[in-house]
Amino acid sequence: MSFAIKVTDLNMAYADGIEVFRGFTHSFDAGSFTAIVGPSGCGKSSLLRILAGLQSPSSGKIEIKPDTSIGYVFQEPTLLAWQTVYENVALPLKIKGLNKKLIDTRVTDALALVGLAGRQYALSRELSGGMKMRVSLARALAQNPDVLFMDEPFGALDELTRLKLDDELLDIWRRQKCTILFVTHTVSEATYLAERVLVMSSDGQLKDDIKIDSNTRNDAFRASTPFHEARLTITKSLEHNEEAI
Amino acid sequence: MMKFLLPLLVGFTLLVFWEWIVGFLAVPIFVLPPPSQIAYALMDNFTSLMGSLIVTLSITGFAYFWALIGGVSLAILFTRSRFIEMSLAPYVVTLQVTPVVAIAPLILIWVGFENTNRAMIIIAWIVAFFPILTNTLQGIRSVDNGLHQLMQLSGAKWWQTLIYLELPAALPSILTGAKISGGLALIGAVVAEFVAGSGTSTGLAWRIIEAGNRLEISTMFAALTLLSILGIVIYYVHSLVEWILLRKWHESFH
Repeated sequence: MSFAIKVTDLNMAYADGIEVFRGFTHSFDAGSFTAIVGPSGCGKSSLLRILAGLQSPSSGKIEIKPDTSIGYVFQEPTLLAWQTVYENVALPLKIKGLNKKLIDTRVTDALALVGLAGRQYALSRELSGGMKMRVSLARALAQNPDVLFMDEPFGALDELTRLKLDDELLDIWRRQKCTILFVTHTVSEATYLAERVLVMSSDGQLKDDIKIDSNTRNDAFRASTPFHEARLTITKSLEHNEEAI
Repeated sequence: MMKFLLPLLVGFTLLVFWEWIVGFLAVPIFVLPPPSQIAYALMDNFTSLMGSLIVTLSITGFAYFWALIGGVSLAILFTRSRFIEMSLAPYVVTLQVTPVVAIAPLILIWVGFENTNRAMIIIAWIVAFFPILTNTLQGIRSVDNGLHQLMQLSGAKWWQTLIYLELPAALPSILTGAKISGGLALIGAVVAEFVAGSGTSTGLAWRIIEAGNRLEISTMFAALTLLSILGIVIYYVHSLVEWILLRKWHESFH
């Protein structure tokens, strides 16, 4: 299978010598769904920022096809408060200079995809936390991303909303066939969503690469033995981490 | 409704008390005229006072306009280049902290007594522009980092970031700065008229000095009243603009 992003021996340290992560090597398959978990401060968010090109690494190699379009969903919805839902989703496309008609199609499709078709004129303060996150997701999807980076996107939402959004995200992923890199600190979320879960250690190294073998993702999967076993394996791997500190 | 009625009631009561106490204590009219006399003076000199009002208003307006342009532009320049900011910031501060009354005579000499209006606008501008600069700077710098990353990911050019993100995000701060500057421009105009002196200015501030010299205290109060009204109007026009531009989305209106 071809890769979407291939990372070789990536290191990140700040000027004051603090190492964020080191020796990170991994190949993200095209169309795969990878979750990255780890204790806070292990550099998982930095890794995402670096792969998306928001930050430069200290050293290492990142291979990514030159015409790869990326979408990025932040921890916070990061919406422009003075713009409507529609304008927020359209903004990156407008900046890239797409024509109005194409923008309209893309925005309308993306809003329909996240279930916000009727809310395009709303301002962000009129929306609930879950809806804001949907707008943020629609903004990333409107760019037809080959790779979708998600940095703890549903972390601030209540449990029920998160479960619902997890399912919708899986649905979108299957339809769009994009590569997803999903950072989270919730083990069950990572287990439920991803095909592979990367566990980072607290000193910023890739500790485990756990495959979740299941083609179905639904309540039955949540109740199944493989789900619980995988979750336990990931938790163990993380716990081992904590002891090392 | 109470918001308007209460201050009106207080004002009316004070005026009645003022009218009464001046008569009761037989205060000479050249020390403190009663409100009725001030109203007469205002009506008697209405045309010439209105002319003076327009003079002061135009000095204030020009100074304010250039303060807005200058303050916002300089703030944009400062946020684009750390180098420019480091080079210029101390001089901007110097200009601000030096009492304008002290440099006003110099400005008059440099600009020339044949161009007093221009000199007065410059003096009022110096007083007015600083709050716009600092508020715009603060507004642009407070823009959420996530939003900056979003612009970066979209491949935004610096001017796109400015237009789509920084200026709208800084708008509430810019308007706060503008509100302060509007009042300061008026104060600057009054100071400038005081300094410009006789025969060159015909604005409200000059009318106050002139009337004072002639012991026409009622006219003095009439001019002062107009100045206050001007200041109040400037303030509320800004509040109105804030309401129009921000009410839909900004926290301060919810």
